[in-house]
Amino acid sequence: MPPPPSDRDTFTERLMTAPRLLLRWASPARSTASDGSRRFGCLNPLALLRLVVLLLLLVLMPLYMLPTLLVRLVTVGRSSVRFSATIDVTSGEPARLHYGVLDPPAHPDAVRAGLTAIAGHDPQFDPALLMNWAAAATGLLCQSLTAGDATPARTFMANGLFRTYQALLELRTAASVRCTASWRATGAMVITAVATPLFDEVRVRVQCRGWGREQHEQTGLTLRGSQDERTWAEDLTFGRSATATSPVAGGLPARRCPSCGAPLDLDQDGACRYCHGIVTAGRHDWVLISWRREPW
Amino acid sequence: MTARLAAGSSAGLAAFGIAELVVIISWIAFFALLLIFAAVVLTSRGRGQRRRQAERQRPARPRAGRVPAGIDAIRRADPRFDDQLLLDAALTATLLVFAATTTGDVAPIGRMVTESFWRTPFGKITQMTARDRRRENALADQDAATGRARSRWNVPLDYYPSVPDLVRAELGRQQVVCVRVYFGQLQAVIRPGAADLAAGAAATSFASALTAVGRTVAAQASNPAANSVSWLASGGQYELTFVRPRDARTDPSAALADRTCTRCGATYQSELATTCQHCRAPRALPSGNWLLDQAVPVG
Repeated sequence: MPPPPSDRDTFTERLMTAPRLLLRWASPARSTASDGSRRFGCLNPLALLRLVVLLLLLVLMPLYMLPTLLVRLVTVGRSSVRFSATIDVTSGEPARLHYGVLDPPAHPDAVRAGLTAIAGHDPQFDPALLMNWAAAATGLLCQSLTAGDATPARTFMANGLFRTYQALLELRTAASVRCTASWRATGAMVITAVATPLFDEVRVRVQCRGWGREQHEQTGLTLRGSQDERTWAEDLTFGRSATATSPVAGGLPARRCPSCGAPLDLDQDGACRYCHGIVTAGRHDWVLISWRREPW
Repeated sequence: MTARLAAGSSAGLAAFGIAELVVIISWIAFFALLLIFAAVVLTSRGRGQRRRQAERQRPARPRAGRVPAGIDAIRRADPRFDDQLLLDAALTATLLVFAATTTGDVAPIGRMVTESFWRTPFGKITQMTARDRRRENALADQDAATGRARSRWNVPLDYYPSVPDLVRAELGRQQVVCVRVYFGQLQAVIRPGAADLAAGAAATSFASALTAVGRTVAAQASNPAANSVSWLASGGQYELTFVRPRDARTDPSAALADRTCTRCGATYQSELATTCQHCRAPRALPSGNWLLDQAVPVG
């Protein structure tokens, strides 16, 4: 298959092709056999020639790299500076530990006011039901992550989040990431509640206990976590349209279709198999619109 | 004869001297360019990060939750206009950008964007990063073919988007809707000297960048077979602008149109697929006829 047009070398990059090939040929790793022994002694004429070529290429490096560098600076230099100023980049342990740090909870008075506002237009609204559902959802998320399959999350995730979650699992599987984990929810509380003219939003913080580990299959290296038992928190944000009210049959938390009340049986699109209504769009009932786990 | 030899030798020496001068000047120019560029990037990055760190001490701002100006005009023209479709499309687009920059495959994001998107700064950087990743993969394939073990991986680990928010809409020569979303990503870097390489990529000062580069080179030279793991996290807030022609109208089935092939009815098994695996028909867009035109970092 020919490379995409953007992959074809520009003139300045073609200047680098021959030195790059020579560099690969002269690279010392090539003279090492698969059993680790050296194929050539240091006085071997071929090894000496390679050494001379390598040194020459290193000395002449700017001659073939400078044009490419100049072109890159002219084309994307300004954008790179601008983007590097607006994006946070961290590395090493701080990157892993600060990634996804949870936002602080809202003031209890603000939470109460939010819950009251939601109950104002939906008297059947019960925050306890939502907290229990969040606790159950973390169990399904654990199941889904270890299986590398998004299906267990289909019954509570909003369509947009579900698509990205499914795509992320695909990317991880393609990159040989394997997750082994076991955890359970030990408690849940509402930390934010908002009612706006467009939507209602409730964030539940779930306390979890268990363990989780991610490994890179090709190298066997541990990417994150361990098998040691510990506790952590997860924030699950549920949202729904401001016009939605709690379904009489209990809705999604009670595993009932919020549209027709039938036992919950959804297809991959989030549509009820009985009434074909899209129930995970947040128009009828609460759905998970954001999930954030404390770093591990 | 002696005079001719002497002339030839002095001409040779002169040529060698000129070549030497060219090499020295090119080394100086090379380092000067690199140093100036690195200094500018690192200074602006350090400033930005310090400012955002101060902002993070304040509680997170809740979503606006109000109808942005201009949305009513679009709703009047298109009563079936579905804002949720665009919010979902924003999430999908950010994930596909992440996919492109970690795997090198721009086809999934390519079908969601306008041609002019690739000429914007964000588009250029996405394309350049994806291209570098494709080249790395191609080199790894070449190594595998010649018996060298692969020793470099960039592994996508996690991706976190905030709940997107509609911030602006207008009905002019075309329909334009702007969605604000924050997204963060975490990658694992596997290679010899991974920690130093990652530290170099995230450096906010000149000294730390230089140290990291030196250590990476030393680690790779001393033990090229010893793989280690490090992590690289990045995140930022963006305004994504979606556009469609002025006379375009929402198809109510658009939200589901990309789940099954419009030609043969087969179900798509992969979110990243761009064509039907059975009949090769192009996949419909999840965002209806809205296309991402630009992404601008905010803050």
